[in-house]
Order: sequence, then structure tokens, then C-alpha cells
Amino acid sequence: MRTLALLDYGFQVALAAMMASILTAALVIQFTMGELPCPLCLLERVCMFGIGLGVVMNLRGGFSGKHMGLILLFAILLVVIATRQTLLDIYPRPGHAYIGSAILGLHMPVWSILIGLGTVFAYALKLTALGNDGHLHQVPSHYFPSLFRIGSAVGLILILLCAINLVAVVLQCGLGQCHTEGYRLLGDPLPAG
Amino acid sequence: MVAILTTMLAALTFAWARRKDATWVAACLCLLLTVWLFLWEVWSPVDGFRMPWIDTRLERIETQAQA
Repeated sequence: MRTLALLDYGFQVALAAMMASILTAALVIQFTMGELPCPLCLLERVCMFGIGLGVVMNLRGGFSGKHMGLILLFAILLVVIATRQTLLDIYPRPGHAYIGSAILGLHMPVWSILIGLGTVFAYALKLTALGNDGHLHQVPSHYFPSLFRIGSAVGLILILLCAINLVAVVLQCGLGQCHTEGYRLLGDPLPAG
Repeated sequence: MVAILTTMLAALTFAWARRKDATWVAACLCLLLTVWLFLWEVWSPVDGFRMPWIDTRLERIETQAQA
């Protein structure tokens, strides 16, 4: 029972840490390479925060199947948004091209599809291997102090990343739409049209 | 977008502080705003939600008409 719970919480902390890493990489690319996120790119980031949110709820507030449902909802929404964005630019036409640089040959929306599908697949695999999570009701996360501390730290990092994203979006878009090619409030507006 | 990220930041902060009800309210609001903005972004006055640039059937009809 304890081992199953440890594996389950370990899986969830790893999932949240992966989302935090991806979101950190996105911010690093944004600020160092000057690649501004488009509206759909920002919505994909929100979905990744949503996946992390479900994990933080499970770790800090006690396990619930509802939190797992929230994680899957955000993962499915991530796949839907990223698929639509990929389809927007999949056929070359004037004014439409994949935004940003390709990483390992794939552009960001394609990576987002893989991240969303990977999350759903990982959860399916975990449910198959570890069962229906009933053991997590009897063994709360604070039974594993190290894991609990790591999970809480990842939660704090997600909060910090979300705050940085919020400030960046205010600078980029103000309170309006995010169709910009610069930081509107820093004096380089230029709507992309 | 500012509203969406604000609600997500609130949800994450409430979740970390173990405020369950407030977390759920912020999370649901964020989810609804995200879905709404996504639909608003992809809707076009000309095409609606359709994606004619990947409509291969249309291309086939035009090719047949030209032949």
C-alpha cells in the first residue's frame, strides 16, 4: 500500500516538474531569443499550468479523483488547442507560418500535442499499473516528507512561473488582444494583423 | 489573456495554501475563460470554424472542373 502510494505521488511530482521545466524553457526562449508567444501559444501554457495545478491540489490538499479529472481536462484541452494551431499552419499560405524556432525539427504547437497526449498516455499507463488510486486516500502525501517538500517546491515554482507569465502578458498585450509583435507597454506595439 | 492568467495564478496560490473551494472556483473560471478565448481566437467571420485550406475535397472538385 505504502509503496503503491509512493510510486503514485512520485509520478505526480514528476509530471508537475516536467510541466514546470517546459514552462521555464518557454520563458527562457521568449526572453533570450525574443520569440513572443501568440494567443494560442499562451493558452497552451495555461493548460500546462492547469496540469500542474491538479498535482498541487493532490499533494497539498489531499488526493481526489476530481483533481485527476481536472488534470485530464487540461491535458485534453491542450491537445485540442495545439492540434487546431498545427492545422492553421500545416498548409503554407500567405500570412501563416509556424511561430518560433523548431526544436529537434518540430515546432512548438506540434510539441504541445505530444506533451498533451503524453500526459494522457502516462495517466492511462499509471492507472493500468497502479490501479484506481484508492490507496492515496489512506496514505496522504505528507507520509513521504521528502516527496512532499519537493512537490511543494514545484508548486511554488509553478506559482512564480505563472506570475512571470502574467507580468509578461500585461507588458505584451496590456488588457487587450495578444496579436502583437512586440511588448506593447514597452513601446514596440505593431499588431500582427 | 490577463484574466485567464490571473485566475490561474489565483488557483495555484489557493491550491498551495489548501483553500479548496477558492481553488475550484478559480480553476473552473480559468477553464471556462480558456475555452471561450480559444473558440473566439479560431473563429473567422469568413470561414467560421471551418478550415478550407485543408479541404482536399474542394481542391479535387476544382481540378475536375478544370479538366
